[in-house]
Amino acid sequence: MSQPPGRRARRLVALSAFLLLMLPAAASAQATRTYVSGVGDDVNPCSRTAPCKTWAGAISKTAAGGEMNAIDSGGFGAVTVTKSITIDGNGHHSSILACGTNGVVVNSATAKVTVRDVAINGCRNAGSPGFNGIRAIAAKSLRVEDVRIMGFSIAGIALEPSNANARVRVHRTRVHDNGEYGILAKPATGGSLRTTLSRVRLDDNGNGVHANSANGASKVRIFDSTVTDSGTDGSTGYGLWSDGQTASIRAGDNRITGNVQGLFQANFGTLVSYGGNIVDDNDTDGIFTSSVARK
Amino acid sequence: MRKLLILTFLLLVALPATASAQATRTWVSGVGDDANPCSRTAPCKTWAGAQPKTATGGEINAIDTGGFGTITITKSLTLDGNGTQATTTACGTQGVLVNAPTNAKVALRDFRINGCRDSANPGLNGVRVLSAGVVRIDNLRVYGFSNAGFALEPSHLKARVMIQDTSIHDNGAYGIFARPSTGGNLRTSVVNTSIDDNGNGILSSSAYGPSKVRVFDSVISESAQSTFVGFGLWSAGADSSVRVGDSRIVGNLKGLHQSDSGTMLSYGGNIVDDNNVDGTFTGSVLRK
Repeated sequence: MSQPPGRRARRLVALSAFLLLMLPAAASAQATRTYVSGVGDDVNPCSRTAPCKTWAGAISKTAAGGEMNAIDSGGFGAVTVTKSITIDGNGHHSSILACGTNGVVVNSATAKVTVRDVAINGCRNAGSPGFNGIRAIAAKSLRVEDVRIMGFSIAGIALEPSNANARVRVHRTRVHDNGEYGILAKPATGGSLRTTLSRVRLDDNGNGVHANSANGASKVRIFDSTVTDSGTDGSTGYGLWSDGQTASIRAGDNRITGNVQGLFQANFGTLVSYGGNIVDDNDTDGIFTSSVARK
Repeated sequence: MRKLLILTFLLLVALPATASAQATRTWVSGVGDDANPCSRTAPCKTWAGAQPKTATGGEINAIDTGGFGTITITKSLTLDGNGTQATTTACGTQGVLVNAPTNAKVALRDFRINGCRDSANPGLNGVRVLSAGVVRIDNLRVYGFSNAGFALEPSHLKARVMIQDTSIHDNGAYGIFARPSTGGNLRTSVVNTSIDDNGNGILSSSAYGPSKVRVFDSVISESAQSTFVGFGLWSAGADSSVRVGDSRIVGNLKGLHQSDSGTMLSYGGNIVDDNNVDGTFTGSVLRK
């Protein structure tokens, strides 16, 4: 306190410089598990005691193959993923508000990515909708579990891999209120795709599930799922839509109701029933192209 | 000193400006204050206090456990109590009244609405829908109202209500009362929902406008613990239909009931047993 102000200032400058030097060192050490918090800060190391504020801020501090968790409820923002990573918001309301953009973009042909227990909101009813809730441009494997995706102008989940043999699994996930598609499974040129959906609830989307092989083979399996009320906003409103010679959708124990058309094929796309599907109360129900008996 | 005063003055002037800007996401907390801007760091205390600070189409989230009160929703809005115990206590009143534009999308998610029926002053309805394009109900628990858990009475065309993963119990007259008002029609879907100990389980009535209800994977039991007729599923009127698959309808005074040419279709997989009278479906639809 008794020091002259000049020396105090000099010390402060020295301390600040020291801290600034330390920061990059702390940031560059990647942890296998990192944390975000509604009251965190992305200048932190994303540790349990010094959490970050966003997935995007945490991902650079997370080792490839690691996971990002949430300490408390918060909006953790959109993120682009280019390495193996798990985003797990379990235990809290972990949300991604993606007005005017994509929620989670996956872009690595070698990455295994998991998105779990988050809510991704495209703000479609708030005036400036985001494009896609989850978009895979390239992915070795993508797993989506217990996620809620709503309010995007294009698709809840857009699977458009440019790599061959991309595999996607979606479980216990709700996809609603998206302008064009609940789930779009349409590989880009050079890509092919295998998608498994179980216990997924798709409603109020422009179309429910669209497998399209225009650029590469697309195979979709769907079980124990609900595809309902597609096209209530004036879109074509197909529940399950298989388009192209190497596009197939195989379906068992689903409820396909209240769509403009329940089942729709174009360009020799196939739609195979495993039985147990309720296809009723659509403006037009449509038909499966074949069936496979149970054993 | 003068600088400090000026700064304080500036901050005070700036504050109301911050508060009046609507956010797409706002927050409530059990220890919040409705004078706050409802931000993550300065949360509000009630759903109703947060609504005017939330943009149309936005959502209100809960930071921690609390009672966030009743609300009349007047625009596209999501109330989401996910991640904590969020409650609306509605003794002597209605829990959530939805009276929004006819194209509005309203979602109620992950909280409980208590009507205090076992107290001296029960609430009337847990959720009452007068007007909205789509009302989406996920993971709610609605109990203890004197009339209905859900009273769906829209007076406009193409109203839709989706009720999923919800518990509806201990309501005096109805678990779900689906009866559009004059000029309205309504489509209701009920999935993976348990409806028990209500006067009646689900009533679909076309007395004033068409009503269509689908029920999947749900349990409707023990209706009519009070003096009500105790129908599990009840379809009333020529423009009323109830379609049912993979549900359990047990222990009601009567499981399936139709009146005034109402229809009730089975998709199969339903257990209708151990009711005083089981009743019958009027038709069935084969699976594919």
